[in-house]
Amino acid sequence: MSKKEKLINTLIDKHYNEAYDINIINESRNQVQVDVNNNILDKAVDVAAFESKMDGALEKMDLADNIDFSINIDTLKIIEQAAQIQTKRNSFKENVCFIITSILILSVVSVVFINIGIKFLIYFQVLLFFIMPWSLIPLSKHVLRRSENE
Amino acid sequence: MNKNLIALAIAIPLVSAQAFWIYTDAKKRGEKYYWLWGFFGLLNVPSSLIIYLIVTRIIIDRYKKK
Repeated sequence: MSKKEKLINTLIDKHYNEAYDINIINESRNQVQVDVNNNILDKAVDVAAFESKMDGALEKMDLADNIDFSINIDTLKIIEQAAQIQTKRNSFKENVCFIITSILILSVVSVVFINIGIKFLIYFQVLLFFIMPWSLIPLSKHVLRRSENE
Repeated sequence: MNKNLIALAIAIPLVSAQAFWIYTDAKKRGEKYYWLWGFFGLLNVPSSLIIYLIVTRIIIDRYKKK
């Protein structure tokens, strides 16, 4: 460690009220005077100037401490909102898909109905009305039982 | 031919509306197969709706209460 670095460390220690060697500072104050006389100030450390610079830095830090950073960010709420938006978007897409699929199914049924006539619709509805809906009741019970066992 | 078209013009909006209502309701209730319920609503009017209401409002709700 050079003499200059040693002096800077001692000045910082003094500034923060830590243990320091006063002789180094005194010696350097005298040296500054000698250096001023010899016009070679840049080689030495101006103790008084360094101390005032440190005080200035401390004032700036105090100023930064006084700034009120009261920005309340509720991260959980933001994440929840994002999830809600995502769900809404997916739900909308799913609804559109369902509508398109329904239109396709209905158009196929309509085309068949127009080509074959009322007979097709009657047979289709009779079949559905007597078999499909009522089969759902035992089917749903079976699904419930299965989920209960799981 | 005209009669067929009139029948379709009456039946298709009814069936579509019923299917979409069943689909959204099943989705809202958290039913696992809400897509199938929606397609089930396309089959006919109004027995699909009645069956859907029986299954979800009576059978499933009663089962959940137990």
